[in-house]
Amino acid sequence: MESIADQAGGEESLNKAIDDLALQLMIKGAKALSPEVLEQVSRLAASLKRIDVVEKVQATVMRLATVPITDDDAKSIVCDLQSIIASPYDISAPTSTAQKSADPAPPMDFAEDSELLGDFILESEEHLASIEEKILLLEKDPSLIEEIHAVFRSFHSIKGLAGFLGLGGVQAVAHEVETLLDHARNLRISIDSDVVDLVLESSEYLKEEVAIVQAKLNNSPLPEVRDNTALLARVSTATADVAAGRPLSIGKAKQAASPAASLDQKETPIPAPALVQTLPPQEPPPSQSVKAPEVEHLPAKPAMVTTTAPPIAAVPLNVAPAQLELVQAPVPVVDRPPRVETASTSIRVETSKLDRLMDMVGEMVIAQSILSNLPRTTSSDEVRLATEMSQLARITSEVQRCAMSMRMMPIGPLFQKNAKMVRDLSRRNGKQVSLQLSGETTELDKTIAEELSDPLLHMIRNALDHGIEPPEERIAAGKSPVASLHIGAEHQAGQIVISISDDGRGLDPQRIRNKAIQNGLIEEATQLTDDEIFRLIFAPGFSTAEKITDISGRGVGMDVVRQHVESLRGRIEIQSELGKGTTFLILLPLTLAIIEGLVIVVGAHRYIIPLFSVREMFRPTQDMLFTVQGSEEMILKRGALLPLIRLHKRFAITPRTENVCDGLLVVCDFAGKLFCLFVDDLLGRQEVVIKSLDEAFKNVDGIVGSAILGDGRIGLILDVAGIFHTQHPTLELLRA
Amino acid sequence: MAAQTIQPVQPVASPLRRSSADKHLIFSLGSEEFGIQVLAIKEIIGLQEITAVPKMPSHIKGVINLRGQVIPVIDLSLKFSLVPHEYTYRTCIIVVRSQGPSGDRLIGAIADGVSEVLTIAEADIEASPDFGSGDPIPYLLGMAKVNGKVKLLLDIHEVFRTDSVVKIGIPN
Repeated sequence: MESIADQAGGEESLNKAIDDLALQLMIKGAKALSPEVLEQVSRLAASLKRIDVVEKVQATVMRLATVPITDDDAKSIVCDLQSIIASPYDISAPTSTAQKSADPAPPMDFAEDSELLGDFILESEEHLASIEEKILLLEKDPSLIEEIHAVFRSFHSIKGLAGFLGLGGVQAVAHEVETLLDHARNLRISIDSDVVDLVLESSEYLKEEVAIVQAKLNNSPLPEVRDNTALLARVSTATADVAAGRPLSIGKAKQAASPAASLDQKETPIPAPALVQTLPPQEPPPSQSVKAPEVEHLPAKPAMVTTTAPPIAAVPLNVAPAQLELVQAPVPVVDRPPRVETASTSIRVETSKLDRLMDMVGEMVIAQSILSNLPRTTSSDEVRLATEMSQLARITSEVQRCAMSMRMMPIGPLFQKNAKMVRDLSRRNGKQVSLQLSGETTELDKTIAEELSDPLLHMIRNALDHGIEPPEERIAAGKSPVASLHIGAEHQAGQIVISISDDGRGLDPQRIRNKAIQNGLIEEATQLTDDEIFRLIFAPGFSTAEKITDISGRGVGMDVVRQHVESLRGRIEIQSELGKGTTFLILLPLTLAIIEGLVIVVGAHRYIIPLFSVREMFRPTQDMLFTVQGSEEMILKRGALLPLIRLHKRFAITPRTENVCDGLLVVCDFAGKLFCLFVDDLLGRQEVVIKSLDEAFKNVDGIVGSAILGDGRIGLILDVAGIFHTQHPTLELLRA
Repeated sequence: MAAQTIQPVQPVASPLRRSSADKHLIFSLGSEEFGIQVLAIKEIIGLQEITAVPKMPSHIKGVINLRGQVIPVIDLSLKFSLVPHEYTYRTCIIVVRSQGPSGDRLIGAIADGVSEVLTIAEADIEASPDFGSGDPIPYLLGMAKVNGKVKLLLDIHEVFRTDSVVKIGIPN
């Protein structure tokens, strides 16, 4: 037992030595990594029989002797050392370095470190987004040295974080790419499309790894783990090529690794720096679980606990530089609109807190409006009061604007994500596309932005796959072989309009019509305008793609896109001209928290109908009313027969009047279907803050939420679709 | 793998919640007196305008505006299928902080009147009675005898866990 205690004590001092070293690095920079210090670490490690550590240290000493190292390199070396030491090491079975580093880091304690991991996910996602954006810029103009630095730093930060958290796969890949980029920023290589491919692929891999961590955190099923061996090998080959002063061979290697090429790589003596930095491929994280049982039965369990603790204490050392670099990351680019600074002076706030703030501000606005609408007394104070009240009104609306802007984020990142996809897909399809983005600084609600991601992706895919023709076809049609795809966003009359337009072949009304008839969506005889025909592509079951590619036609049709957009209370419009191109417009509300509604009355109850689903309102006359089979009622309005739904019947409440001519009809629209809703009266139009209802009411059809009206009473918000769907079945039969 | 062994943390019945020897708010429904642990109560407010929600069972009276929060209101007399009483000036809404499946929620419970807060010793509480059906009533923590009168102590979280009308009380 004594030896175990020794072991624990020794490990502690080893940890201490490394932490000291990290501290010195922070202060003095790379100079702190002197051979003497390393020798001391090596001795300590040797006394503990930590051969893995010794090997790493000695490799570093060798490297120090050959080339001067930068501060960043030094940091990453110490980082690596920390993670090696933190990993459990079975002294009884000393392994070679290669085997050792293939051993995964200890399984993360996900419960304890969930907060750290959460931060890791957030930060990594930010870094990865920035990497993609910057690398695409670099592809256009490889001389943007600031961008190279930024990409380098992002990878470095991810590596640091991953190393600290023991995510070996992430760390290894990030490390390799970092090395490659290091050459790029020292102008040893230029960023060509091969390097861009490599970086993008790596970032793709990292994204998957981050998704795995996320999945583990949520206890949700793990996504496929990709083997990073091939990727690692390719990046390190590239690095080795650069170090040896050869032209990059990754292009060749990628093309099915011809025997000659791989032979060539093996024969070349790899120079020392590359050798040191090239970690052998690590096993993907899920295999970490294999390690756990072994650990359990080790008698040295207490020692294990102490060894894992110090790296946690070292968090600031690892994370702080990364954050500093993030702040310094230069953003401005000459030929692009100024982008909103997101990294520099921001803090993270839980969205739930923002929601609560939005709620309370909404209440404040209502309280203020109640106050200003109170009956006024006629006194000399009146003028004074009126002035103060209008001042309060101004402040309130400013506060509301402010609170709303907190939930807003620029749409730019969302566009960037798609920019990468456009690049990949157009290449794979053999289509030439020039992508233009506009309005990237347009801000929209975070929830909307997140929800919009999928529909946008799908629509762009559609444009690339169906809209844009191959170059030959374009030339034949007298167009430039390079198609243009424009994605833009702008504010328009209190809405956000996102447009996706291509100059491709456009929608063919005749073909869509034929297909709709084929699929039984419409009758042969149905007369439709072109606009109506275009809308058919949103019908469920339309998107039975003739040719199934991996780009679109995955069974996720445009109807899903439409549903998504409608769930965000938006809608889609299509403008298309055969042979000229298609433009899709997605119209969205600015925020999800507030809606504009019509306040209506039925009996003693007041309800709010969202304005976006109201088409018109009118007082009917007796000759408009028809009955079907003596029970169902229809309204004839401008030649169209619309079903009539009495809200009081639907909700089983007592109305003021049963006579349709004494009340009002509201023409509601959902998913292109129109119907008339019979109500007693209209109170007015009002902006309301949406409040969700308690779970007890979740099964009520026809109600989506509630809002507090101007007088402090509650109005229930109607769900137009829900009201329609509880409709009597016979009517559905009639429509079919 | 480590992550998979972690189960979502179940709200464990804290000793405070399960031990009935605590302060209880005593309120009346008709002629019977009930107790709810004071810990679970957020506030007691007077009866105010309730906005009815269509197509709900009769005991769910609707929603009220509690300083900007929209909370449901349940009539306990109807929930326990007791004889409903006219609302009087004594009728009040007890706002309870209840644990729902998706976090804490506030629910208003209409009572015919509140009388006092009692500290009830463990010794004065009898286990919830078995009326022959075999299963003890889950939302009845126990019965307390105070000054010769019986008060039914409710597990209010359990009461709100089910949305349907439940049967409670001492058979005549």
